[in-house]
Amino acid sequence: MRGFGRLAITVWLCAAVVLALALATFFATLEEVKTRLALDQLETLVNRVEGPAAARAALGYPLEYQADLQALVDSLSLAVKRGADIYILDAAGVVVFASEHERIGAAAPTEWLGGAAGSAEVAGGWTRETAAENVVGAAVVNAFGERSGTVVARALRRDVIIEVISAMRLPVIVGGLALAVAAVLAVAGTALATRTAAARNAAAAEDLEAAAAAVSAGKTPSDAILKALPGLGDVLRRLRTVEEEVRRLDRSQAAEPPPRAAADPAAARRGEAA
Amino acid sequence: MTANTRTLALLFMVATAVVIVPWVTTAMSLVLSAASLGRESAALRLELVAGGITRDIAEYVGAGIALPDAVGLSDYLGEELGPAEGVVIAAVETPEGRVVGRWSAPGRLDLVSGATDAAALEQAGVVAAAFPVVVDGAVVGRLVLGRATDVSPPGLDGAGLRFVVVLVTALLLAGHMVLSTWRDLVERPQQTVVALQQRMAERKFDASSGDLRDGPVGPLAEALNRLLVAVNDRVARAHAYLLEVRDFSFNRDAAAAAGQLGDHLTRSGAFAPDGLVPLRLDHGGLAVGPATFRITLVAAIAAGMVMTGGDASIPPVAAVTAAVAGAAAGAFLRLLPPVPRPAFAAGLAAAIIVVLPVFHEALFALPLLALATAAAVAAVAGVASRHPAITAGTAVHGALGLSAGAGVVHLESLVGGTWMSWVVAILALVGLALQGSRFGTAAAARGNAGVPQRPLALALPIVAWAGAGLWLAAVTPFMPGAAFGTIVLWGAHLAAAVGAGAMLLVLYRWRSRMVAVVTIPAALAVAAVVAPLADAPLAVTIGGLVIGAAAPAARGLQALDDGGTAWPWASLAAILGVVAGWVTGPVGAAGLLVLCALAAAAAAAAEGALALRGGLKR
Repeated sequence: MRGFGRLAITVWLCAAVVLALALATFFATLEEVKTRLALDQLETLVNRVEGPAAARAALGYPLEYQADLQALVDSLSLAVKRGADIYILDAAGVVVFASEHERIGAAAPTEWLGGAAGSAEVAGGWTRETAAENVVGAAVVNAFGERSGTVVARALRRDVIIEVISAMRLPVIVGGLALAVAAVLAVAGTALATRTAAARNAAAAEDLEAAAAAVSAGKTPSDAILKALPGLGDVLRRLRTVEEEVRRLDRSQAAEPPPRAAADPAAARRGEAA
Repeated sequence: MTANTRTLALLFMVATAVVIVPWVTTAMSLVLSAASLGRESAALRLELVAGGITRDIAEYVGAGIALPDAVGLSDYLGEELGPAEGVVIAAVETPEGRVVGRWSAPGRLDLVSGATDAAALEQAGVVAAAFPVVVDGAVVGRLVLGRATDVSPPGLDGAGLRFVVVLVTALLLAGHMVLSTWRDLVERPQQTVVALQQRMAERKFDASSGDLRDGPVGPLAEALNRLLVAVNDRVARAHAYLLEVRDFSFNRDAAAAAGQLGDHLTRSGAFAPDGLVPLRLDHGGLAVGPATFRITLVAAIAAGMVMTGGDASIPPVAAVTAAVAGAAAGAFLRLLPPVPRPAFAAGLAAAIIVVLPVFHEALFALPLLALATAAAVAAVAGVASRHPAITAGTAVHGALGLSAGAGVVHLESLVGGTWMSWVVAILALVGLALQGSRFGTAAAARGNAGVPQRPLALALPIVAWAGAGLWLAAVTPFMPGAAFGTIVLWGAHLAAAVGAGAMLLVLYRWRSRMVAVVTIPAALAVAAVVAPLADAPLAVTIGGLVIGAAAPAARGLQALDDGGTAWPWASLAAILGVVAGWVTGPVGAAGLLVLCALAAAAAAAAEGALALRGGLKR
């Protein structure tokens, strides 16, 4: 498989390409799954708070007087291991109860009141997904049908991303193993696929090496080479003819006496005796 | 099937197997991870729901009513639980196991009655959990909540299709990588070796293969070089012998004979006794297909980036359909005689593009779009290529490149951001530039007559691809709101640009060059009027059609087939198109578009004027 190493590396790189694309898709898909699950969870939290709050609001209790809602909010937030925060807003949009105690008394962002750009209406409430957070909200309505407050549950997208990244440990490890398997497949597969071509090239190279050696030694290469390279045979024939002719000329030159010896026979005889 | 084709087919199969392994493992990991997340989330939701219900029941019992005597618990459960909670069965039981309140989800008649223990519910496809009701520290009853086991986690819709897009895109890219490497590693040096052998058949022994040590053909090339050296050595020795005999011969006849033999030897073939010169060939035909793939890949990515704004996805079926339609179009075009082939393909593309806006809301617009794209690429390739065998292959490469680019944009729109598209586009362009330098240098060195040598002609590919990309950016504000319509029109504009360029090139070859000089300003004028007024797909498509009718686009693609130095320029043009379209936005892009088109018009006008004066030679 000499020389096909680069091909094997290219084939292996194909596996790396698909792994990169697949992991990116894995991340995006799992993020979407986790976001949907988080929204379902937020909806459940909102329902758990909105129910009791709305029941008492219907009896005429203003939201800000339902002090036990703070305990409910804290217990629910603990139940989800602080993965989400719950806020109860009064009709003016001020936070009256919250699992994030620092926010109590502060004005809530207007997007939390529903109806903002990017919000989607769902049965009984609304949802809003932004790059930073997922928010689910529902209005608390009193007996007169007036909105007496809002219940909002919020989860940070950062937590979703962190959970997805930790879930990627499995595919990254498995993907690494798959790349190792792919390397073996790439080397073995390339070797098998190119075996015939490599053998053909090697045989042809051997024939040409033998032909080169034969030509250098003044011999004729094999018939197979001459058939494959007809011009070579033609030139070698002419070369051989020229070589034979020039040898003949050289021998005939050696046999002839030099011109000066023919004019002086005595000198020629002295040359013979010497 | 030749030996090379057989080996290449085997390599494609190896690459497919290698690609499938990590794809399958990642897909399975996704299913497992999503299922695990779904189970955890469902269990937590059950706990949240159970917490509220058990608290209410505890308050009720704490008020002095014993659980066995409770009434209305079933109605209470029905009010508290809805389909959004994911619960399919709820039951309140006394410590002895008597059910005092029960609720089941609508449609689950099998859960209306029957046992509520975990084993029985599991048989009904329900996973149940029991939560104690505690009053003053004593367990007074328990709440059983169950959820269905066969519900897949939300958000997995379309995941299967996305992974199909991953596989198709990866296979397209893998096939291109394997083919490019094979052609560079094996076929290009093989062409040199075969050319040398052909020269030997013509009794030419004055060239060598050069340094081809790397790669599988290296030993063969080295052996051939040694044979050539051996032949030249022997000829040199024979010449030296003849010279010796001629110069030192006392016999004038022998000297004359030696001289004649030397002449005879010299005429017997072409030799290079002073040293062999490396043979430089034009390997352009090998690179047209892969180059077309890279260029259409980048064009698709550029168009997708500027048109979709990163928040829309390209239907995967368009990518797959384009590949199939491209292959079919290429095979079909191969059956046609060479002369009407490009005209037919261009006419088909134009007809579909004019009809397409009427159906842009219908599903079968997608295959039409793919066919139009493939036909347009085939038209340009058919006109540009002088080799019919390359036409079909180039059309297929172009369609596959478009498909791969569409797949990449679709995938990166899921992840958010554009890093994936940038990485793929930059790698493709770097590969294009390297390919151009490797495959094109020889042609440029030997002064291939088909390579545009003049600076103006070299500038044409730059404005060609910049113009195509910027046009797409300029029409973004006029796109209809629906993502589906946007995607279809994006593809229509791309096909319109290529197809109209093909039509113009057909005219360009059959008429005088003045056609380009007249048409480009006319195209600019129509586009300037139509595009700003357009709020309808048809008008925008027509605007795309005439703006796309730029001779530089066709010349740029033609230069690909001629081989040589146009490829680095084409890649530079594509880079400009991507960067300008993304950075400047529609307004700036439109301004740059006008400047580039004016430059193209000026270049074409200058070329036309030179042609009229007879000063232009091809």
